[in-house]
Amino acid sequence: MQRSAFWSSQSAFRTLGRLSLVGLVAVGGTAGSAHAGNQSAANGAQRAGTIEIASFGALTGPDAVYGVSSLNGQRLAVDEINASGGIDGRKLALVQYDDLCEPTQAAIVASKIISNKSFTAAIGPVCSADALAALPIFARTGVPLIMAGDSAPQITTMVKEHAYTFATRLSPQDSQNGPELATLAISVLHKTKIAILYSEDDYGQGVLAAAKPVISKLGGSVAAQESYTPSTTKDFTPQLTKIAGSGADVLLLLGYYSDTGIAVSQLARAGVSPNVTLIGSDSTAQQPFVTLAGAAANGVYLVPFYSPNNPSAVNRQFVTAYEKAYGSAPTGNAVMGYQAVYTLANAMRAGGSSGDLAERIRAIDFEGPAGTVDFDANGDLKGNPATVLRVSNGKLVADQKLTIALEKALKSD
Amino acid sequence: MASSDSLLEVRNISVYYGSFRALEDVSYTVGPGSVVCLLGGNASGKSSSMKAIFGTVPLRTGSIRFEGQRIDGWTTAKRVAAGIAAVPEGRRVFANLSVRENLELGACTLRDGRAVRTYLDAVFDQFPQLRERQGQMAGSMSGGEQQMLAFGRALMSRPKLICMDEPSMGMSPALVSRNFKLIKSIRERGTAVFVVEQNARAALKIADYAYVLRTGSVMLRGPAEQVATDPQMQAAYLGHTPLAATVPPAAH
Amino acid sequence: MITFVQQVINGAAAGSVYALLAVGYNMVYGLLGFINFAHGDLYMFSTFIVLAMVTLHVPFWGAVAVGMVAACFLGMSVERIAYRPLRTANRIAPTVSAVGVALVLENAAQVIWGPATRPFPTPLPQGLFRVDGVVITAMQIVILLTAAAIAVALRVGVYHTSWGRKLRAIRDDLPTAELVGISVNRLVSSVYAVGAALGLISGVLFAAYYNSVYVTMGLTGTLNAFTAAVLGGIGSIGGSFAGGLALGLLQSLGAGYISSGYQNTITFVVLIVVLLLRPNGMFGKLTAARA
Repeated sequence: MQRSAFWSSQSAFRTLGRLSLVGLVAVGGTAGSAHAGNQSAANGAQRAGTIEIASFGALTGPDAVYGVSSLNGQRLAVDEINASGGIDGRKLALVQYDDLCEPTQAAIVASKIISNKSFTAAIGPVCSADALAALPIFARTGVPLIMAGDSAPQITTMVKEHAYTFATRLSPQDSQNGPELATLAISVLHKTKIAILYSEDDYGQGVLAAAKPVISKLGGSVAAQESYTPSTTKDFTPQLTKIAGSGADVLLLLGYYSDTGIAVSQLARAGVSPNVTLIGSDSTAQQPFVTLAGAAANGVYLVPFYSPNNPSAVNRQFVTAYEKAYGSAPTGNAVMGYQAVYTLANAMRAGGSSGDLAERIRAIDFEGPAGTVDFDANGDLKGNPATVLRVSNGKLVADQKLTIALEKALKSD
Repeated sequence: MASSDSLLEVRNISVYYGSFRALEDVSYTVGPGSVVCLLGGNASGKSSSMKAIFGTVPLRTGSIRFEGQRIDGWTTAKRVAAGIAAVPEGRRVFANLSVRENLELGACTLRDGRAVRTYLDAVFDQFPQLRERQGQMAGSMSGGEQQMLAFGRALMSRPKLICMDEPSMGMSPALVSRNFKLIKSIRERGTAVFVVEQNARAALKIADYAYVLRTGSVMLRGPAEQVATDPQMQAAYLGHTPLAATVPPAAH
Repeated sequence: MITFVQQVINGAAAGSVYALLAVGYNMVYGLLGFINFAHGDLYMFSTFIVLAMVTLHVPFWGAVAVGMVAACFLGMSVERIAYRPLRTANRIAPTVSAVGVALVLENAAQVIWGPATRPFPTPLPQGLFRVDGVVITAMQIVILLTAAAIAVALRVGVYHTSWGRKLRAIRDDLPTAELVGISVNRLVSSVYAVGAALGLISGVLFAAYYNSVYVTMGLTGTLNAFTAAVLGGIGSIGGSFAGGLALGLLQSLGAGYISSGYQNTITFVVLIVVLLLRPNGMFGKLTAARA
């Protein structure tokens, strides 16, 4: 759900290609430039009393899956709120911007947003690198920013260092998922010889960095540690062949589903024994992972921060509404987009029209589909317990027993 | 002069490269089985005439007929298939193809594979050296042999008209005389030849009819012996040197 | 040792897919000296067409046939519209035109099929064999055999048919080829068609082997084809196959024995070294005599 494609070499090529083309034949408008915003919604600004929210993220390009999911969640929340009378009779309106999951575009989009005084708040982006590029620009005006899908720990550092009180972050962090995966492998499933396949970017490295100390603390050992270039590497057999030869009994997949799905489909041809247990990180826990991985996906454990199977009433209602609106189950990005709008709406309701909106956002505390929405002093979401899923007959199924066991193991550490 | 029994009839053509005028209102006629030469110095429009016949430059005005049919809208390939063959300037053979392949390509517009074999044998009979070297890369042969190959390649399509662009350019006097003997023998078989030349003296000796171009227009035309003795021609091209010592002007 | 053999087998399979892409790319370069930056996007686009057909329940081989026809048509159209008018222009012009075509195809594919990586259902055999601990998959055998068959077919086509003879003549001397009566435009068009068809075969094998089809595979494909072509010798058919295999083995062994994080770095370092030692690629010397 969180992309740092900026660091991948392929993205650099793509950007280079586009830039040179823009320079040469000026057709960059087809792909390179940000959308200027939804025109009809922008006209809505003239309607008295509308609450305008800037929404930005990758809406086109290879990372659009994440941005579009988030936007779908946001739209669903806006529609629900408007249908029930809006906020004190005022309707919400989203104005969307496309940042392509490229930090340069994110900076341009952020400048556009802050120069438009009609925005009450902004929601986005879905890529950590974009968030890091946009934060200093938002700091110029201090318009409240709710980040809904950026998991890099550097964001906390930046927010803390510069005292960016206008910013809050509604996504779980890589530093949380790493220890969960290690604990599940060692303390719950009792596998100690660990192989790791991770994405060579902020996300994969962040989860890896958080997992490794926990592995050694719990008495496990890293038998193999292999990386790949996200969205570029399609042949994982060199890495997997090494992993097969390492004698590991568990393999942690730290990456996006589109990469880990393909990697899992290649396990057999690399000679990895079917007895090796597979555990996927949060970003792997998407239904399309199964379609890409094929039969080899069965039995894979996944540890997302959100599962549509979460039995709470608010989640069941959200999943039903989401499926009705979009015809598919909500993803982590969708639920974050949804919760972002409710975070804003609840904060506005709580304070009426007076007081600092950013402060009220940070003070919020409510039950969302993904659990409690409650921020710490740095504007980060306080952790929610993880869910353990298992792929069974091609479906992602919540494993209650393991979820409880993992929660217990995490507490006892 | 536009007689109905002419083989090639180029009428009032003009060729421009952008605003540069290469040919203006030029006409030629080549009768069946005759040798016609087109004389002129550098930039007189000789090469453009050749290109116009093969359709590799567009005409601004005028028409070209071959055996009575208008061909100026046709592709080069269609013109070749109709019976016009080229011996391009500077003995352009396909250097990285074998001698045999070069000859076979000369017949690439023919559909009948058996005929190609027969024609190939005929060319080998005429040029036994080519038969000996049929497997050799064309680029590894001497200049004279390459010229021979270019002739042979043109003959492979059994054309009614062979157009030669500067066959004597860069050739030793001995080879020049061999080439012109060859042109005669081609003509004796009933094939018409249209020769573009700077070497006026040698060309006029074998031609039936001649045209002299200057800066894109026909300056003089007539039966070869008449053109050879024309005072204008004497002054402009033939000079006062004895015939045998004539050397073509420097290549461009 | 088992690990080494395994890496070589996997590298050879991946390399064969690169080779089939590189050879189509290299044929155009060999003929016209023009770098077709849209080659990878044609391969991506036509593979998506096969996927779309399969999704519409067209039988797999029917879908491949449709994709093949579409690839040839696309290749020829692109040549006709974007490259032919620029054939005699300055070298940069068709290159820019090619990048433009690549962008148009990439964006069109994104609009039609979306940005997500899609799995590729295939009836191609998915089984695997174990020989002394080394795993060989049926798909790898299919890929290697296909690549070998196409290499032989191309060799025969280029050196022992009248089509190939004409191609080599055009490559040698285009204006003279025209003068002897070769329909140059038709031949050039056929090369784009063949190149695109080989691209489609490569695309289908890639999609089936990695179980994925995605929009940016075009750009990656162009980069791989370019690297393989330069490694092997640009413009050379034999070089494309050698370069593709070399690239596959480099990536596989580089990742296996040095570091997976430096896979691309290793590839490009080797590429630079090869170019320093042999500026025309491994088979560059032969290119003068090859099509």
